[in-house]
Amino acid sequence: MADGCDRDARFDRRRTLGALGLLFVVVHIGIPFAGALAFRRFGDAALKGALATRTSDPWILDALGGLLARDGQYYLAIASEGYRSPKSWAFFPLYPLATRALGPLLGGAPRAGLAIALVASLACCAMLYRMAAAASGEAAAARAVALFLAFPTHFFFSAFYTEALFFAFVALAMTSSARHRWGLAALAGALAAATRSSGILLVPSLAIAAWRRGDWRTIDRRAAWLALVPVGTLAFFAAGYVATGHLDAPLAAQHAWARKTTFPLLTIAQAAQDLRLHPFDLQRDIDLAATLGAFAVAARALRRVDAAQSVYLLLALAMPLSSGLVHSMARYVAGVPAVYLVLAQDLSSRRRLFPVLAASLIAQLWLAIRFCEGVGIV
Amino acid sequence: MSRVTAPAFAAFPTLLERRTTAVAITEWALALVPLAFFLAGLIVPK
Repeated sequence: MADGCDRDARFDRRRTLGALGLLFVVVHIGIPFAGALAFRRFGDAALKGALATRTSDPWILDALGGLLARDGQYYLAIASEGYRSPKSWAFFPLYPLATRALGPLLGGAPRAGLAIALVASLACCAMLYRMAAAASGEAAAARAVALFLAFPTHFFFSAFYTEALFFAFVALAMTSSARHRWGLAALAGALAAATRSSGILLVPSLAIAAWRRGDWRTIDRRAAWLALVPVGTLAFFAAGYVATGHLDAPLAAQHAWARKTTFPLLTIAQAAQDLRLHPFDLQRDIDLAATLGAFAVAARALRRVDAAQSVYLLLALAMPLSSGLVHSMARYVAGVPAVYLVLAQDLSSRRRLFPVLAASLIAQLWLAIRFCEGVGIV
Repeated sequence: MSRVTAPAFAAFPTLLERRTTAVAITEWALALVPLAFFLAGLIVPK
């Protein structure tokens, strides 16, 4: 705290916000532009063919199609045809439904999805800034937003993925609960739970935080609003039952994606065994590094950020690791606000911050280009 | 200088507060136990 306040004395808000705005443009316009060039020149033929069956939009087919690679294909299929395959039930519905609803206004579901991601990313920056400023001062908030934008897997926030929308709902739930607006926090939580499976983690995280604020003795009764959060999850399971006749359609889909219940630490050991057999697997190696790094950040979070943030980070690591795979952990870690709150406190000097930002941006550019070619990490 | 600091937010407690030995052990364990499982996975053949 003292660090943030001391640094605020020489904090130039206008200049800093200008720099963050420029960084936002570089990351959300510049990197997708580079991705578009890569998609046009080297884009995967199968991806281009699949896109051509779902849209005739030249902006998508000739430029931005790379942003709809990998999971984006599933979200686009859900937006245009609904849940057709058993595997598709692994994807929660709010984002594809929103793209479908806004598609007629914005020139089709693909454009609508990318526009939602862009606007939600801006909201993410604003809420992350507010969260970090309230806890550690505006200088730390600026660092948190810069680290958020430069994070190597941040390009998923520009893609046809749920990352931006989900992060925005999680951040809104946390900032609202911090101001004791439990109704709004519950609404944001329910929307997060309808966007991604991990939205349900807001229930224990905010409940424990509310209890912790009462010094483990009392809990704000208005926190009972949090019981509304699972409505987002339950609505999806109910829709699955209506469509397939099976209440566990979203859970059964996890088996189709080769995920099975495993003790989280064993998942790390199994991935390390795979690493020994086949050392060069970009996806697995990045996910393993992100997992181990995130646990180190979680350790530092325990005494440095709001209890809600720490609990959410711990659960957000444990939940995907419980599925037996480290797959996509680098993307999941990028979607946890506490990561940036901790890093912003630890990288308080420019001499440490700027090299980290530069290296992260270069890594993000490379990963984004690979992703837009249709062969990158998911 | 400008601030958007909301005192109520800043006053919220962290999950662990006092710097006791038990807290320090918890912090180190959270960082190192996953690393230990990673190293065990590298050493133990599949």
